Amino acid sequence: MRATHLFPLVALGVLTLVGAPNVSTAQSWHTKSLSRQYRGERHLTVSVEFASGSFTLQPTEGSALYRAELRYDEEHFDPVARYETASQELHLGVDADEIDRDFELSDESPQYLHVELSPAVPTELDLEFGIAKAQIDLGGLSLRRAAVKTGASESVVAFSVPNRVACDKFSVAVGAAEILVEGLGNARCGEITVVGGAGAMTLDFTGAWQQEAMTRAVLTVGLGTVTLRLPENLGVALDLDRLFVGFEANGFTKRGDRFVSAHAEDAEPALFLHIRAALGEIRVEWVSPESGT
Amino acid sequence: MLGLGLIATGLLVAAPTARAQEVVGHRAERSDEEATLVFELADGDALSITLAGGWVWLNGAQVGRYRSGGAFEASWRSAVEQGGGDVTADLLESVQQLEVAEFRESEIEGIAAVAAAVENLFIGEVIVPEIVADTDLHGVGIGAGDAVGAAIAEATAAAEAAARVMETIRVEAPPAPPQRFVVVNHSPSLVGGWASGLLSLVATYLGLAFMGLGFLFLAPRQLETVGDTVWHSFWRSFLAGLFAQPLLLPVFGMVMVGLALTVVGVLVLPFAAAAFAVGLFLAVTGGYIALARTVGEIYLRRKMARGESVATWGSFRYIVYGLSGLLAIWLPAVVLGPVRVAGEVALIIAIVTTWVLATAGFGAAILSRGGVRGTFVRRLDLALTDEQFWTTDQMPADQPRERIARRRP
Repeated sequence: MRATHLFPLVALGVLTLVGAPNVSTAQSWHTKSLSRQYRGERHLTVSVEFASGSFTLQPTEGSALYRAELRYDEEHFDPVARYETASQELHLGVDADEIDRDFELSDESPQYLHVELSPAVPTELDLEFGIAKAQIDLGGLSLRRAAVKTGASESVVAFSVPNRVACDKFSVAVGAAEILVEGLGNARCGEITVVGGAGAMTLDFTGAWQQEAMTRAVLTVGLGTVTLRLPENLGVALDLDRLFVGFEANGFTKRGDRFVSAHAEDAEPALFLHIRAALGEIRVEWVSPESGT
Repeated sequence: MLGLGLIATGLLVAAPTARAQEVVGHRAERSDEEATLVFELADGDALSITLAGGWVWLNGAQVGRYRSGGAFEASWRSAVEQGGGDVTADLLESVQQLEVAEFRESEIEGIAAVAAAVENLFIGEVIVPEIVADTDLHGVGIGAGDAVGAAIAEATAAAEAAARVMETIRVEAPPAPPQRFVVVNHSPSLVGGWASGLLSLVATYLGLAFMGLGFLFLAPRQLETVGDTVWHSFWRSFLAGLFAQPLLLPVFGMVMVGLALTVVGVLVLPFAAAAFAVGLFLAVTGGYIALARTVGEIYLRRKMARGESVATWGSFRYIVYGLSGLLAIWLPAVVLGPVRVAGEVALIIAIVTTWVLATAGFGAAILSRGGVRGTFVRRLDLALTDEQFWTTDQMPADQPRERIARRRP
């Protein structure tokens, strides 16, 4: 925790000294679009850094390796739209390092970034947002690894249909934000990590779970509410380290230090959940497998 | 109405036939000032076409003029905008089939150059591997990865074979960004920056001074106790403030959760949150003002000790002088603010110094329990009093005051 956040006087001094009147707030909107044809690429690494505005990502249809459209304010942001052919890396977003100090980032900004990726190419994703509204559908992509970091945003990350390939790791880091992660059963990831600072998180584990697959999910939450949506037919083992956290073991049976769901009592669980939470509440909702995404 | 393809055909009759170039991708940029389209070619080069400031640019070179707001620009922008978000094939097609409703003679050169540049571009055949996602994953191993690998290998082999037989023409000039025609200077004037900064500083000073006046009226003794604590136990106060800061959020959370567990507690949650915020604000601001008061007191007492006259308006004068001293650290930040490195250094120094002082003030407010406990205030300096000489017995100089007082005749 940064001390300056806790000290109103310094904040007052800084804010007043770098006061607003001396800086122009004019905006100049540019739209940049780019696309590249699929040419037998074996892998794709996508890196997105988006400071503010709306962000959407989904699989593309047709023969494109990627498609993207970025609308940005040239006065305050530098666009990043670069594909490196040799390394097959795609960098997208807006760079906000040089923005005026009084410029307020907002998720209501008309600034946006829309990205579509080819489902045919095994992909590694690094997505990072500041203050943004994000709608991300990773379902149907060939995702090897994905990392989503959000600051203060409203984000929906969904695996609407199963990932086409097995994924090593899916990680989500949330600052002070609301995030909904849907269809984690479709992610086909061996490891899922979620780190939350403060806010509300809903993790939906519905989807097409593989019978032989096993997923380990580690949730670390500072302050906030975590809602777990679990399919009724899924074997779940839950380890819980908590301090001042409300938790009703709804649908779980305690076996030693571990909570296990009905389907995990006889067979090996498909999902191992380890939750570490400091303040807040953990809610569990059991849903029918058909109701999942 | 004239089609770009028709113009190109006319040109190609006279010119030697250009070789075909495969397009593998595109970039488009649109704004009020320009509309740029870059076709990425299979050989790694690019073809850049820009309409900006009345000039048509081809790979960074001026090739003709266009009329701003005219039919050619409108058609070009329409093609770029409609195709910009779409796949490259659609965009190329829309540019190659561009139709210009009317144009002037001066525009023909530029239009012809664009037409010739895009005429022989084509999109190669793309083989996207068919990947069938596992629709029923239950009981099925992860086989899609292998399917992807095989399909990709097949597609890569096909693409490589196609590349071997394809003849390409290099684009000689690398694409260069067109000149910018609008230059906007956003750097603020030095005087404006100083004036704004000084005004902010004076406003902060006045705000804190009036808060100090309020503290003097409402809690003068507590203010003095906090000030004494921070002055005589500065580093202890600083450490207390420093360690308290990371605990604020957990404490706040614990209070909220604790209250939320009871019916009555839920009702007072908003009031408790407000009280916590007010208490924190008073502790930080009060601690800082108390420190300023002590600084001012020491300065004025030293002045009086030198025999200089000091007008008396009580403790408020201490606060006014103290705040002047403490806020003076911001003056270099204000004056040097517009200077690139020096301004940032001065600002950082001012922030750090103020943070250290206010952390100490906050810590003193905690140590003294809001000015109620005087555990860490200055001890009575017996060298400055003659109380011990009032006793009939020989008293050691380090005896507590209470005993001295009891034995007073």
